[in-house]
Amino acid sequence: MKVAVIQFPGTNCERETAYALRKCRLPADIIRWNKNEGLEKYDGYVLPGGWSYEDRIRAGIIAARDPIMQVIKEQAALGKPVLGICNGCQMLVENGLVPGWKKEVQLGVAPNINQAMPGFYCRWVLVRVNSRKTAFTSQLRKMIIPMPIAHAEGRFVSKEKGLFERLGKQLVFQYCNRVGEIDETVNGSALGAAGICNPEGNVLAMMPHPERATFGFQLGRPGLLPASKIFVSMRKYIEGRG
Amino acid sequence: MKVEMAVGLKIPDTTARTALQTMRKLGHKVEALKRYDYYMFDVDGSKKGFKQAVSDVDVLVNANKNFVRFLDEKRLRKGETGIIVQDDAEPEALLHTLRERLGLDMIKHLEKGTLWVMDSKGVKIKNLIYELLANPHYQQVKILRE
Repeated sequence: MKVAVIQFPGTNCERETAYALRKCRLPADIIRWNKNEGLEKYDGYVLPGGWSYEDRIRAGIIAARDPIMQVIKEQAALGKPVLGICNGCQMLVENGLVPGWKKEVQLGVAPNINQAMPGFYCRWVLVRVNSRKTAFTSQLRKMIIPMPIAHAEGRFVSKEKGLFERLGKQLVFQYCNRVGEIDETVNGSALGAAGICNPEGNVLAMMPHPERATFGFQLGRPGLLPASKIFVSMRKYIEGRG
Repeated sequence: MKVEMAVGLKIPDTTARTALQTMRKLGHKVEALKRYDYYMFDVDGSKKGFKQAVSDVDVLVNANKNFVRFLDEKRLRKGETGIIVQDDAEPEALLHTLRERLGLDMIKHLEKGTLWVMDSKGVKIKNLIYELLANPHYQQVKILRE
């Protein structure tokens, strides 16, 4: 059992993501974007955060059109888990893998709207877990978990009226306050959307960084943090697939 | 009164180069591509005076690496197509800086975006736009012809 952490030019979270996966007993290799031979042998894929192709044109779009993404799309269709974090989330959205209802792109990840902090926004936030029936949330015990965000373009939008309301359990993570009330003010994301999956639950695009919220020392606490269960869930899902 | 300004790079534009390579990989036969920062100002007073003043604002134009063209003077050459891509977010911070800090208080309204200019012979422009240059869920597109 092994997953591939895909490194594009400009990706900068591949090492800590692979480290977090390994510490959750999910072996991981870092694979460069132009070495896609044999990619099919991996049991899952993680698109980590960073600035692929320096965010040229707009965040994630060049990587979304890269040939390696076609391989990942095909493997996702076979049921393998694909997790996109931050810039990886932007790639999955630009590729149309989430919400995955049509063959076309149904979402955008637009520049943040936050009156207090225009532009790049980096802070710890709380997210509400709406569904445990995905490849990445089955082991999450807490319904509100802390994770950091660090992005300038993380506002989920769609010109399709009512799309976010129709997402239902596909709206896996929402920004919230301490009592679980939805917070739309973090980056202006519709319904406070922080993570969206495909209908099958094996592809998840999320803006917060679970790899930065895996170890207790990242919040001055002992042990592992709740977000580590995202990687544990991925491992359990792969084990379950046999 | 509207003033449309495009700010280009004198130095090599790596973003335009990457975009051009990606277009070609996707099968679009684009021969040349240029990229500009695009600004549309709605201003009071003299157009000529405003153009001179705004060209000298180093927040928008670094004389060492940028050049300016105004779209009412020199629009496009024969065979070229311009594509303006604008986000839904308004550039309020930039407008505040121009009006309050740099004294350009004749600006009533500001829009910002990216202008792509390409040799468009044989190119399916709309396919290219929505495959690469713009996400229709939060970006607006205007197409300029010669």
